[in-house]
Amino acid sequence: MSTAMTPYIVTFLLAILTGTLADNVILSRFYGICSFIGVGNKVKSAVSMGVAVSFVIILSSLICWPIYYFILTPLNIPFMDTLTYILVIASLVQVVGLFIKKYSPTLYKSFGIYLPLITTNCAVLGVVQSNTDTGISLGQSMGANFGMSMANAIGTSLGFVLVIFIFACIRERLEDADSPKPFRGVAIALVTAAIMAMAFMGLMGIGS
Amino acid sequence: MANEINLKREQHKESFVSGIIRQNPLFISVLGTCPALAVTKTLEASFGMGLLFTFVLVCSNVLISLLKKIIPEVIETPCYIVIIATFVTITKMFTNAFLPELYSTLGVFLSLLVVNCIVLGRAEAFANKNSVLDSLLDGLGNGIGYTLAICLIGLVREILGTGMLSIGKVFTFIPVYSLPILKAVDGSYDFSMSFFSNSAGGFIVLGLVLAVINAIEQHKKNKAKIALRNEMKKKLHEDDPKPVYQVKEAK
Amino acid sequence: MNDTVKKYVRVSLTLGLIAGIAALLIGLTNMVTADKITQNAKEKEKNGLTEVFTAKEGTSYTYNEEKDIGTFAYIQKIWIVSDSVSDIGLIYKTSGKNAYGSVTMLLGLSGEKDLGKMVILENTETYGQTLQDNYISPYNSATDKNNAVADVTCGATFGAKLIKSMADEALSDYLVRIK
Repeated sequence: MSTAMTPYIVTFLLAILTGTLADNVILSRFYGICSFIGVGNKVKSAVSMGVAVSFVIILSSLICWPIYYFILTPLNIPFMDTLTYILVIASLVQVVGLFIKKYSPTLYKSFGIYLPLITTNCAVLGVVQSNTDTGISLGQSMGANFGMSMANAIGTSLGFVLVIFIFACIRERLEDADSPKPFRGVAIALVTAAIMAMAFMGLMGIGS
Repeated sequence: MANEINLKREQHKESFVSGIIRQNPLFISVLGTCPALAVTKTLEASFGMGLLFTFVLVCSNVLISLLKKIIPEVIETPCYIVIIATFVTITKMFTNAFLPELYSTLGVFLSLLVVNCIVLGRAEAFANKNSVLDSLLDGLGNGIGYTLAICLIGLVREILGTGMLSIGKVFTFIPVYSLPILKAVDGSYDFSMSFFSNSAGGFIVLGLVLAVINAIEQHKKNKAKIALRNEMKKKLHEDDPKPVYQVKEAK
Repeated sequence: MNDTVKKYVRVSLTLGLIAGIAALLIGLTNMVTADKITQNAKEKEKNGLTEVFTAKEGTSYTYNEEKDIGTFAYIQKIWIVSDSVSDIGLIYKTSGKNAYGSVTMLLGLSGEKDLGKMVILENTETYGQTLQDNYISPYNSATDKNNAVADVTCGATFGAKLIKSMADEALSDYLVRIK
């Protein structure tokens, strides 16, 4: 590979690193909170859900960015993006489910009820939408070219799996801990998430 | 006949009131937390989000309730998603045209109303089984409850985080006015903690508010339990003979 | 056979009905709001332009947009500001993004290579307020702006590098023009 490609590769890897650690999708951008709070305390099922969500995020960004720039913009209907994206995501989840069921039934069983629930995961639609949002001043979007939108998607997936894994491990310990009565359940989990967010805030500023 | 009308009126009132406090969608059944953490940096933005959320919820509830007899069961979920996405797109376009500052502040979270757990949940649990008026009142009640909940969180975060309560920055037709509470306008005293405007502050405020509400609920339940126990004790010992005291004579 | 055909017909008719209602509602809304949206964007730009180069009492500046400026990494539009006598300077609208979000701003240039005010039109960064408080406000109130753009007071200000790259590109294009 020639040295002319190096700045692009470095930018790509730096964007992935930032999306995972510094600007984490759950703890900093607040995209996947509903599934984050309801993840429960079983580490194995939490990681399976994380992996399934990452799969859907990467596949749908792969499909939706070309749809926006090659179909919706030339036809001058950029406002139809939300409807198109959610239909693509819903059908993608069905197709992925059928695929997994056919080729690996054990994997399908371990996903359980989480597979249809991925359609309503805020992280998937959030990442896909922020790749093509230009705001009211019509500036650049987060995924101005295809490489940057894929870096966004991959960084988001890695960050999602990492944080879900850590959180499930912590919650497993919290079950037997002696938290004050009003805090048992969701409230102590949220305070734990706040401490995790503070830890990740220390990594700010990597890719600015 | 009068009984039936009364029953119907009770049902309407029930579906409206239960969404506001008793079955508050954010505090009791912890749903829809994505916008509750992300847009509550200021009070005005959370109020705007609550308003738009109520609009989408009411419209989608009404339309789904109108079409509940026509949609076959196999394609229920995709149809609901298409209807909700339509109303969200309409809301986005109207906000972009008439309230552009609100659109810029809310960002992606306006589009994320499509996959909001509350909107889909009310559609599947309530709107496809009840009449149009009930669905409308239910949507209105849930929307008002959600707006009050995120306004509470926004109020706490804005006062602690920036020290001032300001209006007019998002709804630009109101003149800008800032009420200094922890921070003076000219900077002479500044006790605000910008930690609460960051992401970690959002998590902590929501966790503490949920804990406070849990404590209040627990206290009410304990009081009710103690009152019930005292009632039952009184009833149990109602028919006991009254004790009679005899004084023994000293020898 | 008849039952399944009826079921399929019913499903497709329902889908068609819902798609029709959706298309009708969205089409109506588009007719009502499309003009207002473009008008809002233009108004925001105009307010920003008057803020970069503010005309004194009694005079007024004209802002002429240049067409066909070529393709740049950050620059989107260029305006020439002139009063009734001569040219005052140029205003560049630049837009870029880093890993935290995107920034759109107007930058004024005048004289030999004097940097003018920076006005942020839109900032969607996750920690965007730190950019405004720690970089843009001190820059706008600095007297020597050419040194201030390279001198970041807070080391971890988000977007400082991005704004410096945008300012550098605008400056190099300006130097080519006034030759």
